[in-house]
Amino acid sequence: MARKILKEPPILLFRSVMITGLLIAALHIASGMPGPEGASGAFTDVTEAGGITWKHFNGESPDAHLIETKNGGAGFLDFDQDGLLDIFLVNGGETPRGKSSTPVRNALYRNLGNGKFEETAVRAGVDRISFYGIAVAVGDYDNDSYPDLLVTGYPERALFHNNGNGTFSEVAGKAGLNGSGRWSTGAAWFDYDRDGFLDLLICHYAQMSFASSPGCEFRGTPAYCTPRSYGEGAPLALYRNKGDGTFANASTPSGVDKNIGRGLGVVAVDVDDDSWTDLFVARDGSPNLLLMNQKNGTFKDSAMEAEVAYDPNGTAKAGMGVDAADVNGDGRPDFVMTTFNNEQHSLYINPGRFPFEDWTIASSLGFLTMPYVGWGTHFLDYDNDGVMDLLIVSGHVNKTVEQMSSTVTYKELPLLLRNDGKGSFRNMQESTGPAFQKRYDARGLAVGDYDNDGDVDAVLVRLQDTPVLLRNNVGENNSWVGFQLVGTKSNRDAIGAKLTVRLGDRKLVRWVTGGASIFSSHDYRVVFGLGANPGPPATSVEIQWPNGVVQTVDGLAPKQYHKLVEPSG
Amino acid sequence: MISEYRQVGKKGSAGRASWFSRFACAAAFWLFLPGGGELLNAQNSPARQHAARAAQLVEAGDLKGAEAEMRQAVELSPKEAEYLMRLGLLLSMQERPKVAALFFERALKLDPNNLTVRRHLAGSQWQSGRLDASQENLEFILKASPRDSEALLMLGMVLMDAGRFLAAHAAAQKAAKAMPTSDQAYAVKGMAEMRMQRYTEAAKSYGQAAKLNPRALEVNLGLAMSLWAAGNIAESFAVFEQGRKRFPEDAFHCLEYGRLLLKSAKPEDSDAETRSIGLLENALTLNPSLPEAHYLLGDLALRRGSPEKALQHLEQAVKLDPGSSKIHFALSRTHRRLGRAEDAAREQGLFEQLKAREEAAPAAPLLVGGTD
Repeated sequence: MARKILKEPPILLFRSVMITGLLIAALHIASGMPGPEGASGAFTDVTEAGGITWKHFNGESPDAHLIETKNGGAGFLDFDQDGLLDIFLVNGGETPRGKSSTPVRNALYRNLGNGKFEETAVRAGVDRISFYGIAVAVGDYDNDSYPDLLVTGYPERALFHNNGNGTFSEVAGKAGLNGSGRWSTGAAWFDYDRDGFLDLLICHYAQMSFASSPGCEFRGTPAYCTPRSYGEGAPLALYRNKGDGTFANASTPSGVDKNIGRGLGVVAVDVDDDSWTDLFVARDGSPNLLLMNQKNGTFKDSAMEAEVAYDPNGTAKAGMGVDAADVNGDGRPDFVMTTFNNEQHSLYINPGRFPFEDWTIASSLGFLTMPYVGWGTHFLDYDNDGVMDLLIVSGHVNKTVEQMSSTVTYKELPLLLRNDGKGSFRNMQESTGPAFQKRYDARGLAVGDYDNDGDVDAVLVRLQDTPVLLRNNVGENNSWVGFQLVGTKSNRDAIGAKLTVRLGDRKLVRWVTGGASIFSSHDYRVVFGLGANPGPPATSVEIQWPNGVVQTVDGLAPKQYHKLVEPSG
Repeated sequence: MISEYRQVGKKGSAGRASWFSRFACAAAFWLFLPGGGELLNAQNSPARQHAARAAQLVEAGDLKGAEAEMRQAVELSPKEAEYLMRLGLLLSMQERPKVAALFFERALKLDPNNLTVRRHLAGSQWQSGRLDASQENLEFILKASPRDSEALLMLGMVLMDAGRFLAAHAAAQKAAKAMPTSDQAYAVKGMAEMRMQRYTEAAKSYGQAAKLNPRALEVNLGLAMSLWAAGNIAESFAVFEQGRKRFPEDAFHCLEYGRLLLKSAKPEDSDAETRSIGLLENALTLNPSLPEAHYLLGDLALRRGSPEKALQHLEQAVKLDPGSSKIHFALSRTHRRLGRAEDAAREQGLFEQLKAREEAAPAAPLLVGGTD
């Protein structure tokens, strides 16, 4: 039976227009970096110019272990708190018959602020892990202002605690986050019990062992098998942050471990506007989950009622990347999910009740994504016109695919899809520049404004290759305002916060989400595109903090990042 | 004799049944059998007289009467392999393959080197799902007569039903080489390629078949569908349009065209949905027992916010195909929207049971997603 989403008013502790007395520190960061002069297209590949040379290794082997295809995480984080976003890249690993001639290492690229990056993983102590790496989730779990790193994989996980001095310490065991032989994939930091500390949701994919492989082939060539060949999947895991640097396994008490399936992507966002963060979990050939926070430490899966579990034919699509944003300007979070070729990536519009509306066809997304095996995906307002567009990176799993179809290729083009503001997308390939004319075997995708110019950049990971750092050239042509939220009672990263900016008669709503995309972590700052220059001279923003407090801040100058600290009173 | 490609790229009893049902439309086939014409004129023994009457009744379309006459002929001459074979054929034409096989087997005992009887036996075994036995007999024929292209073609179909697509493709390829002017051989090759998800090649094979026989309805349908699967959407739709003109009575052209039009519709093409509905309704006018057409119309009605209308179509669909998981899934969504929680839960349960059965499949390479 259709259930109406409860629309409870958030806890209103503060709703005053405050300019003075607020802890506002305008972070007007002069760019000081090479501008987009001479750049052609919306994005430029600046990987080489930035000095990024790290190469991914996935242990590709004749055994065709499916894990070889499902890895390659990237994360934006400011690990040294110098105001510049750095980049962490997770490597895969070796397999029994897929060995590397050099040690398999992760990378931590420190942003030097001049368009260049410096590799510091060894110095920081995050270069090596003892397991096959898959994803990264960035979160300041101990609220010390320094972002920490969770790395998932098989058969273990790593939790790199940021020591605040440019180094990290691996503390997964001490913190109670051991992998224990499981194949963990996507992860999201979020505060499900609103105690001010980030908790952790980890997806698992399936049972696996390097000692055995289902063994498939196509025309005599080893090929990766379908996910179903790996069984029904594995349960989700939820870890409650105890606030003392350790975590309690809350998988069973919260009910999330009832959900067996092949989880890959997860996004944490408040679906029903009740100030409690919910979860959308994209699963590969298993029904997706929409885990609604019951505000009592438990979750209820409402994916069937929301009609997001299966496609309309009752098929569980190959759900991989997922993200949430307001696509049609109604102030509610909608969802995108990338899938396999021929399936069409899904777009679910949240009308404020169940069921959601499947806009896969109506938005053009179905048509535009038909030949793609999509992985990383993220909504972003790339041109700062106030509307959330969509970036998707893709790549097929089997190289043999080109022998059977004229439209599906192993390496695939990235897609930048421009939203008309009503939820209909158009492929911007012609105007996005050479970086979008190249085909990649892409996996993880992270977004963040690494050059602090007010437009959102991106980094994608390619299997067996260097990553691609894409600098946005066009967003800064429009007006914008950015926010870095700092929680005091809420978690310090403010994951779960909702921000609203009024632009004329339009209401722009954004969320600080946990997880999102696939295997990747993003800039937690929020940028609002304000449309054509000069734009409004000042803006106000309403913030609904993760713990429910609502705060309004006026008089915010455009073309700046504003650091807003949660009122502690 | 392979002419049924309605189930383009799909396997199962429907394909087998339709192969043999074609016999019913080809009574003249009876006359083409060795000695068939002679039988009609034979007057010189009571058994021959019964056999001759049977032949006349087949020509008149009275299969039951023909079977009764042929049974009398067999009773009078039980050691006559040809009578046994003809009785078997009559039973095959009535889609009674198991009984037919018994008579073919008796005939084969009397005349073990008769490859025609063995081919018919293999056909009835295929029709009744005894794929291993059928394959064994066809391989026996091909050993004795490697150029028996019909046996090769049938072997291709049998192997496809057995899920051995690579072997099926090899058989079809040999058949096409042996019979370069046979549209059927290329069509079977195309069918195997569809099953192997080699869509570009399938489109080429079907294209060749269509060149050889532009009047073959199933070839046209296969060509349109393989072109679509290979990504040549506009060309596919042109072939569908051409097929609708050539075969205005064929429901499957309407059904598949409507389905694929919906699947590849651009949002700005507001006409596509309306055209799809027209095609699907037309398909049902031509053949009211198509569950897929009802399902698609139901799903569309649901998408358009008309659960009551959806329910009407979906109830028709589930009557016609109670074992389809997606129909039960659509019914559960419809009941949920209508506020009927119990009905929704029941349909959801049925969906999950059927889905679990469908998904219990062996390991396969991960090449293409999608449901169709």
